[in-house]
Parts: sequence; C-alpha cells; structure tokens
Amino acid sequence: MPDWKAELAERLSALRIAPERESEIIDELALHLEERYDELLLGGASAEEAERQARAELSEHDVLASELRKVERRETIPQTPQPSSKFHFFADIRQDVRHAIRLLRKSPGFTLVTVVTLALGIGANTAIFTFINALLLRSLPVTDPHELVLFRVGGPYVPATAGYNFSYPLYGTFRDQTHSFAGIIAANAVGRGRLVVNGESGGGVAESVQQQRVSGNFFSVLGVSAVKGRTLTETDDTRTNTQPAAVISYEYWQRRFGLDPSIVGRSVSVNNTTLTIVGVTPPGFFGFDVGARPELWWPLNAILDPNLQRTASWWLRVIGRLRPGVKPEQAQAEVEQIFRRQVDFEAANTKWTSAEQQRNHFERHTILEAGATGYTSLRRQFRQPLLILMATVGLVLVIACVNVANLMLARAATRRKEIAVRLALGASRLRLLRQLLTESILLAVIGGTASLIVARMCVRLLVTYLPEQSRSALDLTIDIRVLLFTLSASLLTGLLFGLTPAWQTTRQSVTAGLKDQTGASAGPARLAVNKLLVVAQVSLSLFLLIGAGLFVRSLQNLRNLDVGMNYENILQFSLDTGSSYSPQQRSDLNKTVLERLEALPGAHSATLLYFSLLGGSGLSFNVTVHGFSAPPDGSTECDAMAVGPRYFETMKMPILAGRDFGPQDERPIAAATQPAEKKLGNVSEAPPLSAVINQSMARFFYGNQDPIGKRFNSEARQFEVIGVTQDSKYSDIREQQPRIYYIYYFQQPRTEGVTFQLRTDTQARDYGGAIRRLVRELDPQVQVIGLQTMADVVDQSLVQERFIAQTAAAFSLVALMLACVGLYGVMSNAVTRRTNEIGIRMALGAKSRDVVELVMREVLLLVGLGAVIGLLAAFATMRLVSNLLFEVRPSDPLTIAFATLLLIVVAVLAGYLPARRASRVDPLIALRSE
Amino acid sequence: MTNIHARMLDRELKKGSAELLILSLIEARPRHGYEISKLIESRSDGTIKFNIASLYPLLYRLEKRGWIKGRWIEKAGERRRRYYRLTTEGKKILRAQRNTWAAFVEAINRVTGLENA
Repeated sequence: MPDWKAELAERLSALRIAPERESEIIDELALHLEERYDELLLGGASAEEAERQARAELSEHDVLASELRKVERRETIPQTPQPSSKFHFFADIRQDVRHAIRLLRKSPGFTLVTVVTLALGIGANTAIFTFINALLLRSLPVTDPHELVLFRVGGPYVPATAGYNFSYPLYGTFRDQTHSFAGIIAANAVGRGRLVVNGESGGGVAESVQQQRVSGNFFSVLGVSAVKGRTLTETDDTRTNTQPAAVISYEYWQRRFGLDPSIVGRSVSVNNTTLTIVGVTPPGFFGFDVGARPELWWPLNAILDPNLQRTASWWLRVIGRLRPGVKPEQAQAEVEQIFRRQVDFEAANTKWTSAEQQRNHFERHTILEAGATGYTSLRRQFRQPLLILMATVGLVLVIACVNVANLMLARAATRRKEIAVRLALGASRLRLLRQLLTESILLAVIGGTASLIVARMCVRLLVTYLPEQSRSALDLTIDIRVLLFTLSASLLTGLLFGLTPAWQTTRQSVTAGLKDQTGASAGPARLAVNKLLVVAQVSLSLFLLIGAGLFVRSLQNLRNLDVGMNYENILQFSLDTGSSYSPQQRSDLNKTVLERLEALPGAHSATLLYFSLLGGSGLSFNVTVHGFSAPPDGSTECDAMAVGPRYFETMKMPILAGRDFGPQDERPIAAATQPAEKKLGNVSEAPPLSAVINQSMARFFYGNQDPIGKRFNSEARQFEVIGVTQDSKYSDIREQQPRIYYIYYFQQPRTEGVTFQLRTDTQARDYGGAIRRLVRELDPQVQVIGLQTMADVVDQSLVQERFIAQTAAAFSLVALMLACVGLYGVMSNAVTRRTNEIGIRMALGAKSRDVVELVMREVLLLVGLGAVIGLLAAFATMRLVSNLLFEVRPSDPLTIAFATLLLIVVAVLAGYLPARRASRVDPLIALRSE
Repeated sequence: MTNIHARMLDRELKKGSAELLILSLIEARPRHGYEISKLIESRSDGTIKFNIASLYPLLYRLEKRGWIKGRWIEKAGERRRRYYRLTTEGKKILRAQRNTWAAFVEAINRVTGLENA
C-alpha cells in the first residue's frame, strides 16, 4: 500500500499549518485514502489502478491545498515574525499549556499518581498553614488593626499565662496618664455566663452564654460600630449607672432572637444582673480574643465587683491603639515608666516572705506586643508546634517533589527522541525548557487545586486538638491568604520538581537522542541525579522519623508518668448556682449532692475539692514551721487543696500515717470564713485546722520525725497534721513533685470553684445524664458545668504534646512511604534498564541470588548513605526542639535506633521487590529485548 | 467552454448544498468522513460525489464555524477515526438551511416550470 501519510505531508507542507493540527489532518486523510484504496481493490481494481484513482481524487484541481489554506488560515504559523514579542510570548505560553494538557491526558496513570502525590504534599502544607494563618497571621476584624498593641508583663518569673493580665487600677493609670495612645481598653477573659431573657412567655429559664466584661471605650477604640442600636460608651461603664447596658453579637441575635428587629431595649439578666440590650455588633466581630466567640459584652462597672478596687487582682487584658505617628518604642517607654512607679509602690506595701519573691517582683517589666492579630492563649500553646509541623510538612512536600521529579525523569527518558527531533528542527533549548517547565507547573497547579480537598480533611482532623469552645470559634476558613499560599506552594513545587528533569532533558545531545531508539542506555549523569534524589529522600524521611519519634516518646513518658493517683473512671463537674445561694445553703447543697452521687447505682465514691486537679491552676502559700529554717535560696511554698470526705479513697491515694478527714474536722460556716480576712503574717488564735500532708512536705519540714500532731502556719491560719498521704501531682503532670497540704473542705467551705468527683465501677463517661438529672431534681435553676472525665482533663493538659506527637508521626510516616515509593520506582527503573545486562550475566551462569545481591548492594548503598546524612542532620538540629521534649534527650539512642531500624527495614523491603523481579529475568527474553 | 461553465455551475451548486448534505447526514448520529462521503454517493445514486479533496476542507470549515464537532474515537475492533457530530448551533443552522433549501427548490421549480415533472 502506498505511504499516504508521506504524500499528504508533502502536499500540506507549504501550508504551514501548526504541527499538531497538521498531523491530525494527515491522520484523518490518510485513513480516508486507505479505505478508498481498499474499496477500489475490493471492487476488482488492480493495486496500481486503485492507487492511481485514489491519488487522482486527492489531487483533483489542487482543491485540497487551496481549500485547506482558506480553512486553516488562522491556525497557520505566521510567515513573518510578529511585531510584538510580548504577543509571541503569551501565544507561546498558551500553546505550551495546551500541549501540556494534551500530554497529561495521554498518560492518565502518570498524571494521577503525580497529582495525588502533590495533593498530599501541598494539602498537608495548606492545612498547617490554615492554622498558622488563623492563630498567628490573620488580623482582627476591626478598624486599622496594625495600630493596636497588646500589653504584657514580662520577666523571668512571670508565668506565660499570667503575663497578659493587669489589675483594674493599673489599667486606669495607663488609660489616664499616657499620651501615646488614642485609647486603651480592658476586658476580662471570655467566660460562660448564666443568662435569662426577661419578659419572655414561658421564659425565665437560665441558659448559658459566652460573655465578656469590657471597658466602656472597648468598641470605640476598636473602631467597631453597631449594626443595630449602639455600642457601649464610657457612660455605660460607670458605677453610678443604674441601667447597665449590654451589646450582643450578630450571631447570637440571629441564633437566639431570630434577628428580631425589636431587640434593642430587651432586658436580660446575666449572672443575676439585669441588663438592657442596646445594640448588636457586626457579623464576624468577636473582640480581640482569637479562639473565643463572646455573645454578649457588658461593662466592667455594671456590677459591684471588688476586683475593680484591688491592686492585687490581675485579671484584665489590656489593648491600646497608638496615636497616629507614635512609634511603639515611645509608647513602650511611657508605659514602662508608669509600671515602674506601680512596682515601687507595691514594693513599699509588701512584706517579703522570701528573697525570691522580692526578686520576682522587681524583675518584672512591661512589653507592648503587636496587637493586630489579637490575643489568644492558643498561640502560646500551638505556636511552636505549628512552626515545627510547618517545617515537617515542608520536608514532606520536598520528598513528594523528589518522587515526582523521578517520575518526570523516567518519563523524560522516553521522550528523548521527541526532544532530540525538536532540537534538530531548530527549537531553542530555552523554548523547550519552558515547555517542559510548563508541564511541571501545570501538574503542580492541578495538584494544588486537589490539595484543597486534602487540606480540608486535615483541618477537620487537626481541629479536634483545640479546646472544645475554640473549635467553632476559631476561623479556619480557607481565605485569600491561604489560597495565595497554596498557589505559591504549587508554583514553587512545580519549579522544584520540574527544573532538574527539564534541564537534564534539554541538555542531551541531538545525535545521541536521535540514535537512541529504546532509551535503554541513558547517560550515567541522569542515573546519578536519580539516585542522589533517592538519597535525599531517605535522609529527609529518617530525619523526620527521628523527630517524630522523640515527640512520641515524650508523650509516652508523660502518659506513663506516675501521677500518684488513679484518675481512670472518674467523672468531674461543677455546679453553677448563681449568686442566690448563701454560703450555708451552698455548703448544704454540696453535701446533698455528694450523698446523692454515692447513691447512684455503680458509683464507688464521691468527693469534692476546691479548685480542680491537674487543670493547670492551683493555690500555693508560704508555709512556716516553728523551728524550721528554709535553705537560703529555697522557697517554703506549698500547694494547698481543700478536699471533701473520701477524697483519698476516691483518688486511690493511701493514707500512709495518721488518719483521713472525718466529721470531727467540720467547722460551722461563720467561724470558718472569718479568719480568712485576717492580715498575712498575723496568725490567728483560733484552734488549728486539721491538715493531711503529702510525703514530700513531710520530708521537707519534718525530716525523719513523725509529722502527726505537728503544727504549721499558712494562709494566716494554724494547721495540725493529722495524716500523711502519698505524693501526687497537683496542677500539671509535668511539674516537679509538689509539696501539698490538704485541708477539709467542710471546715472552711467556699462557695465558688468547687469541683465534684465521682468514681464509678464502670465507664465514668456514662454517668453524665444521671448527674444532670440528679442536680435538676435538687434545684432546676442550678446548672451542671464542666462535666468531663479526669482522663479527658489529663488528655487536654497534654494537648500540645499529643498534637505534635501524633501529627508529626503521621506526617513522618507519609514521608517514609513516599521515600519508599521513590526508592522502589528508581530501582525498578534501574532494573528495567539493566534487563539486558542481567540477562547476559544469567546466561553466563549467574544465579538468582547473585542478581538479588547485585541490586541489593546498590539499594543498601543508597539507603545507607541517606541514613548517615539523616542521622547527622538529626544530631545537628534536634536540640532545637528540646524544650518540647519531656524526659527524653534530643539524642535519645533508643529513639534514633528505632527510627533508623524502621527506615532500613522498610526501605530495604521497597528495594527488594525490584531486586527479586530482576532475579526472575529470563535470559532469553532479556537478550531479545535489545 | 460550455463544458467548463457546466462544471463550474456544478461545483457552485454542490458547494451550496454540500453543507446541508453533511449537516443532515450527521443529524441522527455522529459519522466519520469516509462514511459521510459514501452515504452521499449511495443515497444520491452516484449523482453527487464528494472526494477527499473537497470533503475534508468543508468539514473543517463547518467545525471551525462551530456547527459540527469532530472527535477521535476508537471503537472495539476498529481503527481510531474522527467522528463528527452536530452541535446545538449546527442543529439550528440545519433547520434554517432546510427551510431555505425547500423554498429555493420550490422557486426554481416554479420558474423552470418543472413542478409537474
């Protein structure tokens, strides 16, 4: 049969149709001619006759060329260079993109693997960045957020959590005596409140609301105006105001009141204070507490709060707006000056109990932090883990890139001929390079788009690490910044994995490429690049494995820590009675609740305590013991806890000496509350209170003596030791073993801050409903709050460690998997290339085992080299995260050994598969393959 | 001369009607170029013939106008061919051309007095 394609190509050559279009036309017309030719043959014509006739139809009056010229005119390559090179550039890019799309569609398998790999890599990055964006980068939805500064107290002994708190009098001084600020606002921590909507039919039922008390200038300084009614003003925030006002959030207006237009003027009671709603804030406004969603704001002075007078109560967060043109340093200097006066004033009125206390006092200073992103306690907890995870997922992405680069290299090998032909026809290398890079970037952009799905899933998983109330409050939407991040990550990724293969491919010599029919003998340089990439992958994944291993070990150490008590199957909760309960009523209620709790079927024992256990907070006091002098730089502070009956039994803490508390330790309420008002250092003459102390405290103060019956002074009271219990943790499981003394709750009852604990024989979690029912039966107005198991409390206190350990572990395993896929791919490729050589070796008598050995030697070399580099990198950098580790050194040999072993086993397995395949090569087939 | 004039007329006529023929043939289902040329030939009892040189430029022109759309399709046991189908735009054009053609034929017939033929 005649070569119609050649003939057609010749006829069309003068038309200068775009190459792809031309080959399409040639294909279609050649097919037509073949069919016509076959038909003529079938009709009885001779081969010559058929060919002649088909050709005649083709060439009739030269119609084909002239007609095609008209139709295809617009697609032909311009005969003369375009005047504008810019036009050329964009036209070329369009062509490149179209070409790339076609190529990718031609090899769906390659495209799918690449896109999935990239989607994983970029998606993980996008997810972590979404959190970083929400917690560290996103500005508050207020006017000119960059003018805001956050007040903080720094100093070596200021706890990280306490640094942002100020007293109301100090706030007032800042507000009234500084000149650098357009305004300074204060607000307490967002918290739950009891809200009753007044005047509603069937109303009067208390509901829970997230509320915040703020200074009167809160909204005006933030620059936020009401969408309905008005915001709070300075007049609202005065003690003489008899009609306290409140502002509610748009979301609360919508959820609770169905956007009722008559909302302004409605009366509500919050924690038994009657407030009039005067306005609604714009949608999306939440104040400056990122991760909290207040639903109602009301003035600080709406209630007679004793904290407003106290200079020692530090409970308000303070934010200022700088005057235009004022530099933060100027403002800082001014604030510090006022703060120093305050420090000196306080010092003059303080009787130091230790040199340490005095030092701590004076080493404090103020810091003004940029306030554009607002305040959040989550930042302190998650900042470093997030940055570490960002680095982790960045490395995962690099590993993914390397995989894709290897795939592209393998693919490029099969395109050597195409490239060589194009080079031979005069395409510039730059142009080809650009074309190949366009392909990479297109792949990366598709991967990036798909990554948004991966990111959403990751975010949904990661958000469970946040405290419950922050999960919905934190804005984790994918905004323009995240999209830009993803886009740039994708472009960078495309360049990263595209550049080497593109460079390699276009560097080839034309003649070598043209001669190379099967691509079986690629140059050694390309293989070297391939293998170097695998070494990099192996080292990176070992590095990540070691890091994750250290975090996992830390978490394990924390989990296995002996906390000195048993917190399994304990459910805890608190009661909110409002302020209508007198201390006596509250005390009676507590007793009744305890009785009812213990009467629940399956309940083992119930108790209560003042403050909660392992919740990150606590009380500590200086303790003095007659005849005991503290070491010069030592502190005599002890933690204190008021506990109910059967506390030690409930927590499974044995009494080692003496006795547990009993009814004989109870005191009448009036007598018990009175001495608390006495001045520090002036010990009361009242009979001593009973106290149980822990071993550490006993050892510290009494050494080898029997502590039972001994007395000590603390909180301006005298205590008598009636028992010794075993050591346990108190506010945080990471803390050094604290000295603790326990006093009997019913000898000094408090109305607030009481936590009930119920030990059950079975799953404690199942008792929530029973507890709520029980409390409702006692008083429907009393609310059960903070219901959770102790195990959950401990889990929450480990959230930072869990977050980083579990996430880093997951990502490092993904990295390991990707690295193994890369190793497998490269070795498979290498084996395929060497099929011929292996065939010859086997024909010459090499055994399967020898072949496996041959391949495995190379695998081991690559893995070994990668492992050494990974180990060196780990040794060099792991100490940077030592502050996040718990009782494990950054160079922990066990972790490193385990990670290395895991890597080697998995990597060798990945390398063994191609080796085994190589050993099964049939010499005959292999030799025929060339 | 006469011969040439007749041939030219023939070509012009074919050209005007060719679009209509092609659009009609692929109305029911997509067809490839060779099939279209065969159908035109057989349905016109050999009176109208489109050879390769005139058929394909026409197909490409129709495609460019967006009336038809060609797609490479590989069917089981067959070679890969380019099938053309009618686009929505093409359907409208076909309807319009049919009406015009019918009116035209009727007019010609009336003028030439061939209505009873």
